[in-house]
Amino acid sequence: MDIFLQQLINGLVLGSVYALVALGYTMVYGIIELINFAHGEVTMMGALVALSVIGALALGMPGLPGVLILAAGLALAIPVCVALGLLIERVAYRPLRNAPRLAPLITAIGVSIVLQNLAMLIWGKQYISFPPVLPQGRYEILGAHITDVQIAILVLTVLIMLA
Amino acid sequence: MAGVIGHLNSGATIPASKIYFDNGIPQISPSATAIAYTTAGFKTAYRVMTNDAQQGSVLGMFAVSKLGAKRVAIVDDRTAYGQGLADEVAKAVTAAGGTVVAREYTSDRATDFMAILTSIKGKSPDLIFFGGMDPQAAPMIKQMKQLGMTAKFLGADGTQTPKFIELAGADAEGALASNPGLPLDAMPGGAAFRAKFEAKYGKIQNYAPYAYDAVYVMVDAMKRAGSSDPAKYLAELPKTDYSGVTGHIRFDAKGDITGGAVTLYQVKDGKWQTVETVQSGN
Repeated sequence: MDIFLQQLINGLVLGSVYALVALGYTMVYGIIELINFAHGEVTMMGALVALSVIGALALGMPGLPGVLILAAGLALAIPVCVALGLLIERVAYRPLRNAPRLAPLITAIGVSIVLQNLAMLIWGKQYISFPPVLPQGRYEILGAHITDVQIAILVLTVLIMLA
Repeated sequence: MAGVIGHLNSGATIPASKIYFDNGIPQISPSATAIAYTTAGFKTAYRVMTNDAQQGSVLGMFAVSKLGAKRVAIVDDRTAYGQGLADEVAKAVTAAGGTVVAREYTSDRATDFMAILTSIKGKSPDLIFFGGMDPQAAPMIKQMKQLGMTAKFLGADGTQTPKFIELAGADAEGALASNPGLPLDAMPGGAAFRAKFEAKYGKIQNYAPYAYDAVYVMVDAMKRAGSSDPAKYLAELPKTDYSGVTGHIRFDAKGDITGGAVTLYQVKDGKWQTVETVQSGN
């Protein structure tokens, strides 16, 4: 029973992350009917910007509370992703607004390749791990474990879905 | 060309070994550990470094006899390296009287192991062995802690890296992993070699003592044959019985070093610290 419950939690958390990404895909598709292949890369850029900000703050100002560091990471990652999205639309999609549907699909793949390589140039190809800025609380329900972060992912996803 | 000392890793050593064999050129690698290097039947291929089969068998024996793990779960990344090691560990665990309670697979790209760890947790192992590299080992040990698992974590040379501690942070504490060969301080001629090497070339390199011994093993064979002609001294290489910086060097029929050493390390206070060195039984 605890294995079933634990796998259910694992699945729901992982599914929530996928659902958030999928939400972005469908929003773009709903409006301009284009599968935005660069969507995942924009998300990645956001994560890497947040990682840099959080890493620098956690190292530079160790006294700062974790919540503030996290907020600072978000505060910079969101405008960067917005700007990136606007730039991509301007450069890669708008000039092809009346072109056959295959053309913007190809520029979307192009943008995705450019962004991937840009990230490798800036952050390198090594694996990086997020510094643990928040204390990791862990709860046990009927033998299954769930962490603060996992609960946050689940709650956030449901809220965003409803909104 | 009379002989080759090299190459650095198995990826380069194995393809090159066929060319040396075809041309009758003896080759001694100071650092290649993949099992396949000496199983192709090339009579020109030798190594002075412990191979992955020897490392795996020491790991399995160590897990059961020294760490007291009766129930062992094994995960590998499905690469030739990871899977090869995992197979050897599984054999050695069973031979030492332990039980392999789970055998799970992942890939060398994965970062989420919650599903396989949950399934392993249900089999309540005393220890989890992972055959793979640090980018997988670090999130794996983090997720073990997330799931409240208390089993010991054991890895091999892909895990025994500074990067593993950097990626896993505080969760790395207590993790165990091996590396083939001896730490320099534990080699019979280690201290003297370090002093001489650093006086001449600067900071010592990991495989320097092994490369040094490999050269002298070759020279020793040439002296006995009275010739540097590969056709003459190749026959002397199997008879090698040489005391070098790294220890006593003899070869088995395949060209592997006999009784190759494997050293076990554990993360304590955020650093890899030597636990002990074990000679493989070959």
